[in-house]
Amino acid sequence: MVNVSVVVDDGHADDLDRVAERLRASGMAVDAVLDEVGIITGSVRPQDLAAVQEVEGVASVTADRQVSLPPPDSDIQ
Amino acid sequence: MIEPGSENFARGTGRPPGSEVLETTGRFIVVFDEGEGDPTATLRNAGLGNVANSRDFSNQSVDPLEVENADATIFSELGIAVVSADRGQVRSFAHSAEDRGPIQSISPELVHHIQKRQGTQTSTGQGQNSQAGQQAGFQTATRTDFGANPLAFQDSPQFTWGLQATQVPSSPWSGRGIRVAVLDTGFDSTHPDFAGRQITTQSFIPNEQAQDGHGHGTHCIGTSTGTNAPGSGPRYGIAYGAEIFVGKVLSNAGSGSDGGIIAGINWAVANKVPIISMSLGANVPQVHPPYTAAGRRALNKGSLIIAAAGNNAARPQGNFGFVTPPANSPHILAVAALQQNLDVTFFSARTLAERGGQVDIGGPGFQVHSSWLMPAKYNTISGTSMATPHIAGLAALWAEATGFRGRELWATLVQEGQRLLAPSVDVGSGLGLAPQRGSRSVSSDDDSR
Repeated sequence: MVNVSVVVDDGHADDLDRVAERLRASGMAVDAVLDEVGIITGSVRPQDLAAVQEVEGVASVTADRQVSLPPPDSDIQ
Repeated sequence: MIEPGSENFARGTGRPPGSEVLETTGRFIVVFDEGEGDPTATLRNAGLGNVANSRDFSNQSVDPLEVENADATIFSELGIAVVSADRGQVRSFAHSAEDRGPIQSISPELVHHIQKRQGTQTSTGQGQNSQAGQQAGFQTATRTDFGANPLAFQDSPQFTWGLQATQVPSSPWSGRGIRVAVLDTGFDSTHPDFAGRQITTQSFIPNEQAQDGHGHGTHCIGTSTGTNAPGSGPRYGIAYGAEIFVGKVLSNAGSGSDGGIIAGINWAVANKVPIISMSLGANVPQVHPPYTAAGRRALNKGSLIIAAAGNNAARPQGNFGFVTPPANSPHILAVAALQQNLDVTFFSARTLAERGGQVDIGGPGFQVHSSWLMPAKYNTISGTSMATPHIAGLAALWAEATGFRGRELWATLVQEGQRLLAPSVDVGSGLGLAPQRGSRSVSSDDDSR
């Protein structure tokens, strides 16, 4: 499974729940529907990525990036 | 300008080398307060009988020949009038204006010329030129306030160098009534410097509480929103009156991913938090679409996201680095780290060529003293992570001082930044500064300076 962030296009900003339903039907496990920023996060099997990208209302699907801070005792953080 | 009732017609200090003395027409420009009173009546009461108004002209296009003999011409769209009066009349007019109060400023009308290259002769008289030369000599000797400043800032017993450089000690604002969200490793709720503060916490890291197990988050919260009366050491906090929102999006080990960070942004926007500080980034140059969307939609709802440019430069080795996501998104304000002489630090990332990848502003980000996990209590560290909460704290002061949110707040921060000699690709519009009463325009209806 790949963790992904799905940006919903502006035209579907008031229709996030329906887009989330379509994402689930396409094989995505939805973690959160974030109304304020119009983004749906979750995970998807690599072989389902193409189908998720084709869902109506989806602007982009990107794999999550990791962010890491240096250890607490580093001079530069 | 002259204050109503003042005789000080020559406030023209700060004239740079090579500039000339003011050339005036003998007329005056009167600026009225917005939405107050009737400018025509005010001028007539002051004894100016023949008052023209731009509203009486087709398309408000005032014909200069038709108003040639008018005592005053009001430009109603601007709330400004051009007044023909002698100096004595204006003085009495200014005095009487004090009673009514609708007049913001009265200034001599200046003569403007086409911009010309320095050194070419002008039509002004010889006497004026020599006077300008004296002004130039005076200014050359006194104007040294552009960075890099050879007299570097340093921590004093009262204030960190960063607070001094950003002019926080003299600002009358504290961010009171303003919410500031710091999305980071959480916050040490046992820290005594934050006793009595209004703090809302939320963890977006599975199986971890918002309590900070790293120190990074507590340091950033200290700089942006810490107290003005710490238990010991210099004051390190900027918006000490702000309401603090702690979103834990990085684990105690210092790591996190988009899902939690975006959830944190969504939480802050839903809580109507106007300033979101993010001292984090993924070390890649590509712009990341979720942050472009989240930044734009947050701005549309009045929330400004401020993020660290990145620490991936090694300038002594000729490596200038690049601005990382989320800071490289077009709708997120990217912050560079400055050192004590206001030059860019050796690690602070440079602007990327692509859209959104620019550094927007600089903040103190070298050897920054702030709060840390107990029992250590304080720590001094460097990074664009430390510059970012300086700008977030300053944004809270501006938000309180002006009422601005979103794009207007962004514009104000960069507009009011102190320009530096360092390249704009490294420091954007320069050093962020705190709003000051009197010396800077801090409200939309105060245009008197």
